[in-house]
Amino acid sequence: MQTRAICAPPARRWWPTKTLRAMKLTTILLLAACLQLSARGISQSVTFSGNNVSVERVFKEITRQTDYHFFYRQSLLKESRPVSIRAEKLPLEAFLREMLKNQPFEYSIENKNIIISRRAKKGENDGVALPDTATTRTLYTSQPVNGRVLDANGKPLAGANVSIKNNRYSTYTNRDGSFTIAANAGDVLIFSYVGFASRQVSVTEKNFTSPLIILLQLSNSPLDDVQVMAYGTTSQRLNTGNITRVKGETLNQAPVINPLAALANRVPGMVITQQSGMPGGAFKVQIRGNTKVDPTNGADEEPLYIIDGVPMATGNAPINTLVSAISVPGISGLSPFSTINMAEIESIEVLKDADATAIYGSRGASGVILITTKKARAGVNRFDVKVATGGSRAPLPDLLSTKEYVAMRREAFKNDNLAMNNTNAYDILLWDTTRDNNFAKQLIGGTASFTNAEASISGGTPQVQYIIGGGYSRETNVFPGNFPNTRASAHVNISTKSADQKFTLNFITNYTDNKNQSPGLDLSQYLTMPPNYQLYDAKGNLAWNEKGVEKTNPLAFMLQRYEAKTTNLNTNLVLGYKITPDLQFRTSIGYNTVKVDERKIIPKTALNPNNFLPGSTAGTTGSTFFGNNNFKSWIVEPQLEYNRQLGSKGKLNILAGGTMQDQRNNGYNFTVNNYTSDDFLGTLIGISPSSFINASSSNSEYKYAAGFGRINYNYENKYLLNLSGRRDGSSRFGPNFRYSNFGAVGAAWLFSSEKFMEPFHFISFGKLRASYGNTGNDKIGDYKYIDLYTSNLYSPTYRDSTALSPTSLFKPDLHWEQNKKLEIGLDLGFLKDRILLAAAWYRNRSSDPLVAYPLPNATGFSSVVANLNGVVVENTGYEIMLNTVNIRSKNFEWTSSFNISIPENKLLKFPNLDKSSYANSYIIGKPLSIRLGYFAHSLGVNPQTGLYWAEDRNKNGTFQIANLNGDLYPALDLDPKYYGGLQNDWRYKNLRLNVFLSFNRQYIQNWLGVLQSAPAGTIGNVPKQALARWQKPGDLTSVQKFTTITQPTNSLEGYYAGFYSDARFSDITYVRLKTVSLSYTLPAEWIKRVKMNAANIFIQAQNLFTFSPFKGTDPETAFITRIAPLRTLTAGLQLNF
Amino acid sequence: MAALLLLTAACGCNKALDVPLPGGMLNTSIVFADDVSAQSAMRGVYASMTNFLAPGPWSGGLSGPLALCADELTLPTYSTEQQQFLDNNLAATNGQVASPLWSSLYNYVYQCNKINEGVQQSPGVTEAGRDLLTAEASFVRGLCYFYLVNLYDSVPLVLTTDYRANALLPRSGSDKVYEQIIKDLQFAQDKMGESFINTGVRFRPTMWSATALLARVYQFRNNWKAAEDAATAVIGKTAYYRLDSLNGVFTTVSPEAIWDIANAGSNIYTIDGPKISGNASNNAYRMTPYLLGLFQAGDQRTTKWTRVAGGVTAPLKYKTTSNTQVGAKSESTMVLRLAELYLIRAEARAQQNNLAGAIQDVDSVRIRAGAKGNATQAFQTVLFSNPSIGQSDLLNLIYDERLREFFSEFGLRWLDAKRLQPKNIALFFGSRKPNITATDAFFPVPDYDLRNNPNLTQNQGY
Repeated sequence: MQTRAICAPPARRWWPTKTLRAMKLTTILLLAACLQLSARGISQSVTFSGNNVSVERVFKEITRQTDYHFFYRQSLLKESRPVSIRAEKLPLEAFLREMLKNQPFEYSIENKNIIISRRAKKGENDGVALPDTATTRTLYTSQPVNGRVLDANGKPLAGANVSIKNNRYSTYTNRDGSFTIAANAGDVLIFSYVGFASRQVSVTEKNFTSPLIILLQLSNSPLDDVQVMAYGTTSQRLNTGNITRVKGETLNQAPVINPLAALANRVPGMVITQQSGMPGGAFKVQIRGNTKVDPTNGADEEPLYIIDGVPMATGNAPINTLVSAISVPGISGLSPFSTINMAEIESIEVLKDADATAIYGSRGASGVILITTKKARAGVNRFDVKVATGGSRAPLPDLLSTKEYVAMRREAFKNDNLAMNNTNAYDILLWDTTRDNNFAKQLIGGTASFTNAEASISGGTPQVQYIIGGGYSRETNVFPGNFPNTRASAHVNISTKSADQKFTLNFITNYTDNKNQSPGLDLSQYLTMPPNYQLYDAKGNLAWNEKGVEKTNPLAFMLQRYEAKTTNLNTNLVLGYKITPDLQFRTSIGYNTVKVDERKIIPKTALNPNNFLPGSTAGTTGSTFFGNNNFKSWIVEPQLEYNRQLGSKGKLNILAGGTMQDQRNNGYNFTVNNYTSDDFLGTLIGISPSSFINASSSNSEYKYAAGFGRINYNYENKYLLNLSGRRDGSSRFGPNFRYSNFGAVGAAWLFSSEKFMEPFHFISFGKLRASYGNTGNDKIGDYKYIDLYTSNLYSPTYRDSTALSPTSLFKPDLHWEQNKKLEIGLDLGFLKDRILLAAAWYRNRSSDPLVAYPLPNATGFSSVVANLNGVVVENTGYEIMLNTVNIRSKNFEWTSSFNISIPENKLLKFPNLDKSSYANSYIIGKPLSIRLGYFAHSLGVNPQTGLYWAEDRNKNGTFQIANLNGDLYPALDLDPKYYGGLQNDWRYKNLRLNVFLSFNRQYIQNWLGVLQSAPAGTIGNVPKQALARWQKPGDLTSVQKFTTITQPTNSLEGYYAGFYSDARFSDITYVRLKTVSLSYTLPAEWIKRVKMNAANIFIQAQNLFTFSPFKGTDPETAFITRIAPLRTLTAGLQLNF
Repeated sequence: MAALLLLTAACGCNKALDVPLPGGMLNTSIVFADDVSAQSAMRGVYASMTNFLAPGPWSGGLSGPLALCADELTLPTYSTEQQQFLDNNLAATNGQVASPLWSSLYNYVYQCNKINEGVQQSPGVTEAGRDLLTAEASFVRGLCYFYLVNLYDSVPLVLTTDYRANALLPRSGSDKVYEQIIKDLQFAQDKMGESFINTGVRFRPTMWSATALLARVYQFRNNWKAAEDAATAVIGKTAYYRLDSLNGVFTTVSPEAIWDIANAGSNIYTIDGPKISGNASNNAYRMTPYLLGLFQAGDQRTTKWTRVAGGVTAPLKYKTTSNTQVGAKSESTMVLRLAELYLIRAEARAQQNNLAGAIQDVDSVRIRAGAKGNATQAFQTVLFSNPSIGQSDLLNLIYDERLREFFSEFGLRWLDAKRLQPKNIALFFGSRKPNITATDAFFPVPDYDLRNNPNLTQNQGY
């Protein structure tokens, strides 16, 4: 076989082995090609007969029969002669030799490409990279070297850098990959292109006459992985901004339904908090710190979410309108991300600094999250199937048994010197004290099942590629009852281009259909009931009001049925047209719609029979709550992109475009009660007109228009400059404040390419980058600047005529919240990029925060939406990512990835803070979280009285629960001190183990937080930690005595002194074994027999262990009254045909 | 770059970003575009007063809590916030002081100010329309300030809609507030006319509503001559206003109504009614033994305006508590009614030593309640039982008569106590309210407003 060594690095001394290796590689590639060919039923032999046919025709015929492609210069064919040949199933190479024997050509085969070149004169046909010895070296003056740079598939690489080693000269390839550079024989040419491994080739005499064909292989350095950025792609190597990419592959190591769950702790600077372990529950996302001065009404600080170019119509706000176990009011709800199939995600890119986000203008202040779903690739048809099944359990708190509980209650009464009576001790005197429930086990101790199945088929030709996938998932929950959440999804991507490659089309669509079911309430709220509470009566029915004590039976909530049917359609079409080879026009058209249809049914059996008072109509029959919420968004973004070489070394890329976006939300709610029969519940049948109550509807629209531009200049892959800007308009502001400009400048210096770095071989990559710019935030809600009049829901008319009331105050000067971002980053690669370090320091200054500014009610309203002018919140921090290849050998591989973020938040400026309504909440120079951190200083438990004891800070002799001049002071910074994750991937032969640990250090509410309303000793169970209580004078302990008395609120001792003190919080570091994935790839020989390409079996686990000083409670949710993140274990199978 | 931005920005103009207002939402300029539309804003004020989700003064905020503060009612069940009223031990954080009273009253004031500004600035509203609407708005504003100044003493006097200025307003002094009330009511009296009087219902105020309220304001300012004149003007309108039977007083068609508020939606029941009387099986309040003891045998108000359930007597002036109640009559919230004017005039005449005239007015009310001009029962007319009553006894009788007539009606008793013992309200109640002190006469300014208005000060005692 005659192979030119152009795909092998030209290290001369190892020429033979390298060539061998290259040949081996070629063989493997050929083998792969054979397999592919056989899979398609095309042999690699040629059958042809013809007399005096043109060479070109023969080439075409070969292409048709073998799927091999030819590469040659058109001019070359002028020298060809007609061919006469007859062949029957002749092997390809033999055929080629035969047909070319009388031609002035020779051929070489690279992968599936047949490269035709002019036949070299004798002695010059030993390859491009001729051994460079003194004898062959010539010292001619420079002569032009021509050639082309192609990728492994033979596609020209336009804009590849061609430079001469140790020389200033360099150039770029043009659109068909060809280049011309003046060089001397013996010079070493360096070919580099983003995403591909650089190649070095020595120039020989021959190169001055015959063109050089350079095939670049995809880089295996993670620095060259394609990263999605705003309106384009880049790589870690050439990016001037801060973009963190998490691959879908990594996310899918976690057996979870919600992609946000898998993303947590993987991206430095991003905090994802799970609010509840309920399937479908929401996650809070915050990038680079808190900027929300107004915690309840401030502008939303969730990042901008864009899926395949389409902004999510819902954002990350809970999409439900009814209350159920999923929704912890005000904290959590149904997550819109639970409607996204994680298996369809190719990658998630998190954009953080000004350079990466400023092009999103007013929407980029809190960062941008780009979700890219799987794209079709050319190739033979592939069929992938993945099935996994398993189960989940909730971590259970450890509470007192009935025996311990009764003892606690008796001790409390003894301590209080109080007598028990049927009011204060019905749990002891009236209820059966031998009944021992373990509510944790009984209410939330079930095992939820988890099933996930995916299938996709993909393939295509260079002209048309497609992928069609589908998925199904089902998870139940840990309550005693069956409330499955199911999701079916479909994913389609088709891309095509015209024959002349000028017109391109890419269509992508994702659709999911979800049905989320849950009981009416998260039963965790009832874990602290006395353990001797009666759940069932003697007949096994739900027990109510034992001995006349009116109590809710938590199992009644299991009879309430909540379901949310959600559909999410996200679709995007990108049309492109190359006007000139340098200028491309494209337009992206996107549409997203999310529909939520909710129903909550409360049957009569779920109501306490005590509600059925004689003569009262309330609660005598079942009721149904109906909710409907629709989100819709479309976006059109026409863009022009211009690429041009500036001089011989500079590359210029200019992007200009515009955005028109429209987003709508509408919905309605109503309740139907007094159903004549429980059989009609959930329907609109069998109801009387007066049973239709509390009807309401809402609708809003948001429009957004912008023009944007970006100029990127790359000088020799060494100096990079990136300018981006956007002029933005949002309908959320008054006419004079609608438009604003945003922009950023980013620059990077790849100093490792400098000459002075040559002695430092071990540093394979070094980049210093910096960016500065401003972005905005308009997520304050619609119509906030207008003083609207509307008709009140409950009094829409006054005596049958419309009655209108104002809804808010007029605020014409409402404007953007600004976020000025500065970042400096250093990226280093060591030992041929086996160790990669990315460190960043950032400083984000958010100003003019939008708040619902509290107003005295004398103004007519309690607040007004306003910008707090002059107020600046600063977030600074360090973020470090370290990726290492610890061991890489044929059979064993070990790689690690570590990230840590050390954030700091502070209120930088607040003019006249002391006179504002935030005077008692914030302190200049302290973090915003201080608002929540006001506590008294606990002095522990008074050894004499056995009560919690708080410091009398204002020395007035009483306990004053007040920030200002009271006994509370800004004691705790509740923000995380640091957080991050550590991923380790091991491979031994076919066995892979991926382990992801997350860690976090911050002040977290400890078990005392469970005692929300009363001290340990009153009616209600407590965690076992309470057993360490004070028992007699002189006892030194941290838990106060059992008591039923709270003590007055102004007492420096007792329940309030404990609850309002810093004793309720602990500064802890917790480490979670978040994701573990163990997979085994079945040996190739086995699978071949069953005609498969690959097969994997795997076990995956989520939240396997949490190493935390807290026992029984999960540090993340910190409340035992909420389901903590579930522990999940699944096993599955992945096949590829 | 700049050129690029300019280029791209050229495609966007403000118009492109105009979003239609959501259905059911209207811009202020549209609301005040013409007379017809502007009327809906005025109706909005009244509708706000009957919103049962955000209870205001006339939907439960005044009647119950103020009756607890005084000696009218007590509680059948415990509630922390209600108990504070009963014990005259209010905290500045008490939600029932803040939301249904202070905030609601000021919200109505804002709406009235908004109407004043809206119709003044509107080119489409006619002069007649402007007069009528500004007069109505001034009337409601006067009513709101009357309660604000009586509940909280000196309050910020908000007369515009500019929240930036209003948020920093200090207390104005109660005299200045009263000045404004009188100014507003006189303006209303002047401009409002009688246009709504013949519609069969009195859901919109007229010049006579303003006159009636003025009579009360003069009474509270001890301006007896003016009070008598205003009361006489209304009482003289016999074509419109007559005392109704006890069962008819609170109905929608009552000829006694000078101004009453219609109910929300298609409801035939008021919000204030069930708030005071509870539902079919549970009492919200019960009457104090003192109040029950004031009634003489034969006084039909004890039977027609109360109910006895479970051995306790509870107020039951409004009888309708649901649309489906058997035999229910449509009722509406009676803000101003003729009986009050008789008793205002009685007091004014007594103060001016016209005892005979005073007795005649008191008896008008007593006769309607079943008083006899003979000795067949204990409940008799004053003219029969005590024609030579002295001035101070007569005044005391009038004060008691006011309690018998207006118990559980918008706290009139509590306001009486305050005006009669302005220095120390404790003297008025004596042993009936053991915890009360002089500073309890005024409610605490809500904590929220104190925190958000640096120029606002708290009342003494809080």
